[in-house]
Amino acid sequence: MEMEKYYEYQNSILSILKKTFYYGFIPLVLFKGWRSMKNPNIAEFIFGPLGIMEQ
Amino acid sequence: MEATADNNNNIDSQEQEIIGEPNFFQSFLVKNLPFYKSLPYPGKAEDMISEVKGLVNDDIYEGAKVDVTFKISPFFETSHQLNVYTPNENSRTPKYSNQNVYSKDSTLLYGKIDSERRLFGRFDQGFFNNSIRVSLTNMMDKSFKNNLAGELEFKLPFMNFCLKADTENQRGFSFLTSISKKLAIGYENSYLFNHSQSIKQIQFFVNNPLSTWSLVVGNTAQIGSSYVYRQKNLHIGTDLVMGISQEGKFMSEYSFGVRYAFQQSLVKFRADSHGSIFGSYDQMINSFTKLNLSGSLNYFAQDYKFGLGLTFQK
Repeated sequence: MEMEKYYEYQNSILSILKKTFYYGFIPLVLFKGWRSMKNPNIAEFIFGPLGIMEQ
Repeated sequence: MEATADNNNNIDSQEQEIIGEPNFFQSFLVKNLPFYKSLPYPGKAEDMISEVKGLVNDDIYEGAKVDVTFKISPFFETSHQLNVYTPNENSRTPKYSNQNVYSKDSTLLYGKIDSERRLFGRFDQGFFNNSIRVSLTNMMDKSFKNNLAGELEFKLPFMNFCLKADTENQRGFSFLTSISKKLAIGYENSYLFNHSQSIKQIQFFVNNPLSTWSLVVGNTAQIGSSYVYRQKNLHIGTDLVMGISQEGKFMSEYSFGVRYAFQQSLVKFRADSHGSIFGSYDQMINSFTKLNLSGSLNYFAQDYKFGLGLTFQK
């Protein structure tokens, strides 16, 4: 009985961790990318550096 | 496996080797093992093999694709890929995928998600001038079913040692060490708990400035040999695998690939013993636009593919 509760608790923790990774990892990478910009700009962040058509 | 290979190939292109002052471990080894002072670092066996695989494996795609890559900062790059193709039961290429890479100092973060809601994430962290490197990768689908894998890598001046494990109950270790300036020998052992099977391989490499030859012998009754030749813009690779197949029959596979880079274009050609021929042509239209034409045909299997791609990279 106690082991069943332990396994249920373990599975619930794993489920939370999986969902956290699934929904949080890409935003984490994007956040690091945003912080790495010298002058953060939402337009450049979404559409790329400005002046793309000038070259 | 193709998705993983593609991911691994993209990740490898982003990794940067950091060369700095020798740390405590390196100084200790050089002091106590003078024989290894003149030996070069052999690198990773997988990297050597993947160099040949990159030449002899075709990267054919069917239909059309558009790839847009932005380098937002020196440490961050994002890429969007759209695919338009005739769907069939064998094609698993997603219609849309997005890749994000953050790489700074000894840290690497890589994330990829596609229109089928499959997520691939990787985190790499190096310590002691990248002498010790920890890598965690996770592949997860929309039902939250995942495969988590970890790797611990030790880089010594003359040796590379890896420990691997994943949630599919696979454990393994491998090492590759230089035994002379041109020769390197390695060993790999992977144990599959689900199948109660151990896969063991002995690897032998001959490294020259212009070429690399490798021989891999395993307990699966198969022998593999690869050769790659590099000279300026020309790369030639061959790969041969022979032995006993899983069905208990003798099998052999031979592949040949060549790649030549012109000033504004790149030509690839590949052929194998199954009768498959692949050709690819990349042409730079301007500084940030590249056109790709590729085709693959196999007369014996009546399999023909053609692809057209555009790549925008800023």
